[in-house]
Amino acid sequence: MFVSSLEHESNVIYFDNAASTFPKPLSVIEAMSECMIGYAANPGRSGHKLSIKAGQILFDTRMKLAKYFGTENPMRVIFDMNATSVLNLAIKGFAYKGLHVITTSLEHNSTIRPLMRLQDDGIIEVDILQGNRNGVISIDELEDARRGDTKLLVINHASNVTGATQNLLKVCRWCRKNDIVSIVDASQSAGSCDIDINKEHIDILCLTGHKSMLGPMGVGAMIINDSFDYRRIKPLKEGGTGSLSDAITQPTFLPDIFESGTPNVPAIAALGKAIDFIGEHGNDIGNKKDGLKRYFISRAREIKGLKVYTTKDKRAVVSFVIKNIPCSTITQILSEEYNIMSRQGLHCSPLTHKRIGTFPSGTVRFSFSYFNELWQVEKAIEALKEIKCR
Amino acid sequence: MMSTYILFYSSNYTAWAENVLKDAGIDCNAVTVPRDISAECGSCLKLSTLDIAEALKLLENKHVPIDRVEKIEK
Repeated sequence: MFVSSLEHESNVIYFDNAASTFPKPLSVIEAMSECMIGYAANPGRSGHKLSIKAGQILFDTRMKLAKYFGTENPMRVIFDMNATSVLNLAIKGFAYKGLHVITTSLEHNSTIRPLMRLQDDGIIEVDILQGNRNGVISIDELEDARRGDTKLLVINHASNVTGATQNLLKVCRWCRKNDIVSIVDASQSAGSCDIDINKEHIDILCLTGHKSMLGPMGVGAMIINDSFDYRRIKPLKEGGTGSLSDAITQPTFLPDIFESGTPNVPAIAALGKAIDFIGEHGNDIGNKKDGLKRYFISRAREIKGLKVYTTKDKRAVVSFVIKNIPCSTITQILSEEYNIMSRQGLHCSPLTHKRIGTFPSGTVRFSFSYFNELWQVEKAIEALKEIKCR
Repeated sequence: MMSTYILFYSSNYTAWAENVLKDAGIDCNAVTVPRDISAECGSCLKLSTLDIAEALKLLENKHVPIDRVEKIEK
């Protein structure tokens, strides 16, 4: 099913998939090497066969992403390095003096830091909604926070700490009704559940390729709804696009306006294959991951002093602490002695940890992928029992 | 022999147009932009037919913007 660079360590159990999924489908790896070996030329810059081939592959993935997220126009898919880069583009490119922004306590630093930077610079004002005990916000809260100058909502679809998931349909529909632009961070959810930017009234969807999308690192995408005037976003970088080369000013059309510089063609080619993989396996991926999470939660009850932080949402992320044992001690022992890879700390989401009461010590996080198996969860439970008894 | 070239503002649109036309069974290929019709360094579409009304209609229906059409001896 997959090739792992850790094949020689067949015991490795990787539960850090919310940081980056590992391993990847074989087709993803093959697509990267096929590109590097066969046609890794610069797309759009030349007219030779390899450049054209690279451009076609770029287009194929653009088209697949457009269809996967519910839009017909592939030119509304903007490639960049990762979710952080497209979130910075969307947020800073849209921001203007006097803008009031609503956001949530489930934000990752990839959204809250750009927002805080803009607020510190005196450009925008930000209100952070706390939501319920899981950080999930309500329409009532939005109504209370809305002001006359509120024109932007930045919202993380699914928490990378607990898996708590916002109701995008309700929230983004409310935004439309109130003439508020919605920027959705789908870093954790894209690829693990259906997202349709039209049905869910999302204006701008930002995602990364290397998490639940099962692609490689180094590629992310911003998908702009057909109904949204993209000229409301200013590009953060200008430069070579391969188009209108006689002009010394940036092209004003999509996607070139936002895509200066050579794109990561090998990663984009591989992401295209990852989308195919997700399409072929459909709901099996989400169901399997959810099953692993539920199994972990049920078995974790056997460990006295272990407290779980998660929700019933179908996200394969679960945080936990064990009384009187530092999180870093747990993850280090898991890694060194049991070959189980997990993540401790604040997961770049201090607001979430404050909301759920685990700040500043943080939690241990297990995040599962389609390539994890039940026996791996069983082994982790046994390992945690032994660590607890030391 | 006369050939028809459809030029685009960006190679992103060349790739899109090629996809649309090939899906409709129209014979075309992305090629280097001939130097005698443009100074652009990218690609354009070369069609084997001189009658491109159907191709242009298809591109219009799919909202694929074009720069211009050139017919040259090549």
